[in-house]
Amino acid sequence: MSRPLATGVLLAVLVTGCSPGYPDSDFISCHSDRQCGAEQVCFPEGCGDPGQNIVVEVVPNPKGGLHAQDFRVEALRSEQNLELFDQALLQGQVRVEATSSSSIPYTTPITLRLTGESLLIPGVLRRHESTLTPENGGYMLPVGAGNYTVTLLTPNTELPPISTTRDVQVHPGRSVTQDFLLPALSALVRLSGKVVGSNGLPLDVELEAQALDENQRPLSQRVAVTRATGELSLVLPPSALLLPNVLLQVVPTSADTLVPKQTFIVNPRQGIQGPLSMGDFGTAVTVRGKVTDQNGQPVPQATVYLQGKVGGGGQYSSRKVLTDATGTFELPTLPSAPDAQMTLFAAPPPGSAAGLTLKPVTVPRGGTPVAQEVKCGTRMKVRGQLLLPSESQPAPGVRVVVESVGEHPGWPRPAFTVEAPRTTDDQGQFEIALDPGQYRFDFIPTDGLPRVSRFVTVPPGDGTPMGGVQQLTPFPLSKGRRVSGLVSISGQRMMQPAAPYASVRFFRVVNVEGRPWSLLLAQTLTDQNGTYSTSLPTR
Amino acid sequence: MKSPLRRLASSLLGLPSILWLGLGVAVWTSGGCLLPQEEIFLNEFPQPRNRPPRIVEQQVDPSHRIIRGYGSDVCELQFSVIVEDPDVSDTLYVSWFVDHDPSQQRGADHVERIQPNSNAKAARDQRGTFKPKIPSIDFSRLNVPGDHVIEVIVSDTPLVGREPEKTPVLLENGTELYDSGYSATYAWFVRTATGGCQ
Repeated sequence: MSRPLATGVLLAVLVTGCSPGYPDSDFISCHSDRQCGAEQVCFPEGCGDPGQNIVVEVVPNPKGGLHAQDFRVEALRSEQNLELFDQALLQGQVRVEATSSSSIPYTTPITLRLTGESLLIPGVLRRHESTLTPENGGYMLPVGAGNYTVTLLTPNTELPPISTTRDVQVHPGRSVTQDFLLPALSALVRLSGKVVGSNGLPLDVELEAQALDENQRPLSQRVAVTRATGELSLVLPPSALLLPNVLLQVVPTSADTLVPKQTFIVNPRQGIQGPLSMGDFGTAVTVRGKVTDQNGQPVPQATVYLQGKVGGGGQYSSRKVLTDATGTFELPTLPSAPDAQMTLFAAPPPGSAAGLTLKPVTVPRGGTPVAQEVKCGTRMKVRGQLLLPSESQPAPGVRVVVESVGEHPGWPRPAFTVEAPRTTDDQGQFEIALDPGQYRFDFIPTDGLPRVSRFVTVPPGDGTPMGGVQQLTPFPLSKGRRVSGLVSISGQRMMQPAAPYASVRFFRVVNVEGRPWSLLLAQTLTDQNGTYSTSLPTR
Repeated sequence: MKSPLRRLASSLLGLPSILWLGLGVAVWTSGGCLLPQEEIFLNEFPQPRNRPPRIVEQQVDPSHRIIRGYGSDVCELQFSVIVEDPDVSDTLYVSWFVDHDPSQQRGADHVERIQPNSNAKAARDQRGTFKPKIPSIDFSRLNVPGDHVIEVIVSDTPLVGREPEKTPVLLENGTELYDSGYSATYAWFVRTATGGCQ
């Protein structure tokens, strides 16, 4: 046996012999770049070429009307200049029907609301909202590249909102035309009615009403219900008459108003028949209690609220309150429906060892305060160790940010983003207590190495006071390569040799189980000269 | 007959130029020890003063200040700020306040620490972000129907209440001063409605 080969075999034996035998099921297909091919890097979804499937988002100056532009980068170079197009525009005409065959320009203020996401980077939400006055019916609005639903609202509640029925695709540098035709006032559908309590009298609280289609898309503006009389008047577009039914939703305007949300089904051709009764939902009840952990210690700053069905068929969600330093809370609520229980949620704050707890409770009628003690389970402690790319040394000082990406069966989706209270220690170790759910762990070094992400599924605690420990396989950070360049604007309408203070973000975009998915690889900002520099993973 | 001074002068003038140069260097280097110098040249550089961080206002997200339809048309929002500080080694603190009430002092609703960049750039790569969502099990004042004000305060020392914490600075002469820290702020207005997101 040759000397290099013998050395290699010996090293392999030593490495495998010393490996602590962690399960490989923590991560999808790989946990280290070494498990991948020669030119590949271990990404959360598996091994992949770090120079491929990259999309860069550049946001030059949103305040100045220069919004996001996205570009695929086929082969990423170390010197990667980014040339931007002109600003993308949404433009068109807003007209109002005068007769069945003619229309006139609409010249009073409108609000345009665009909601959607990037065309190239799944999961990157884009939103624009602007109030403007069309000039002779024409409007022009700079927007970011994306796939949008556009809604036009007028300050006049007599006009229903108008939403685009198909997505509006805006590409970088392009202008997209979207015209709106507001219906004539005489053609609008009006629904008038009266909201009452179970006794047939107005409720004397602040309520709002809105008509929706079966997909919960608004057909009317949200209007206030007259407090003293309970009367409401909604205006729907003529197209509402083509629908078999519309949903009329009545909601309180404040969480302090102890009234449930009620949804009524209305035939738009017949109008509202009779009073809209909110049902017999009872009177206010106060639920008092204490939230403790498995050791009986109080849990301060826990979020507590109640949700469920109430009398009369409405759905009620109480306001959320925080426990005080002694773990006690006081929650005003409605009584539960006679045939159903409500769910009491107790969510300890991030960093607490106590975990999210759901408890079915019956809140009886009668106004007598109800006592509810909540003993929380213990969160699973997720532990792991990060190594430097050489794998021979630990990686200290790395931030660990955990983002919820899905729920565990039978559990609500956990809190959105949690950061480990401390960066990794001198041994590269971290620990964070989490509720059951699916998470993406982002490891963000501060010493020039690129960020690394992994998916982790956290099961419920084991039911013991300690809650259980989930030990992740140790894994290394990736090596980094510097990528730098100049951001400039080279459009037909706008030329700018350098775009200072532009946001630059690099994403990896791949298909996971047939669905497009994106991962943030790096983010930075151009300097005063329009140049940027950042670190991306490499082998 | 030459006087002794004339003899010395003529012998010195007779030296080769390289020896003149050596003599000059010896006088110049020993001058630091023999000749008194102005103190201003001997003191170390003064301690640099703290400088303020800045929110890169052209990059605040959302770029418009008034946001309507949260809870009905939009179920998820993201607020983010990019910050820069000429003191590149300062840790920055991004504190988010929802509906701050001066008469009811309470801490920030969300706090993040922004570490110095590895490349010593003033603009930090890490962004301050706040992501409210409906429905959510989190306690969020923003999710309560009604009108809200979201403020972000970026400071170069941790906040005490709403002010940057004062840190003592010991000068060379033994004097102790307090660096009062700096902060920068930005705000949005949000109208939260009850509806489609519940």
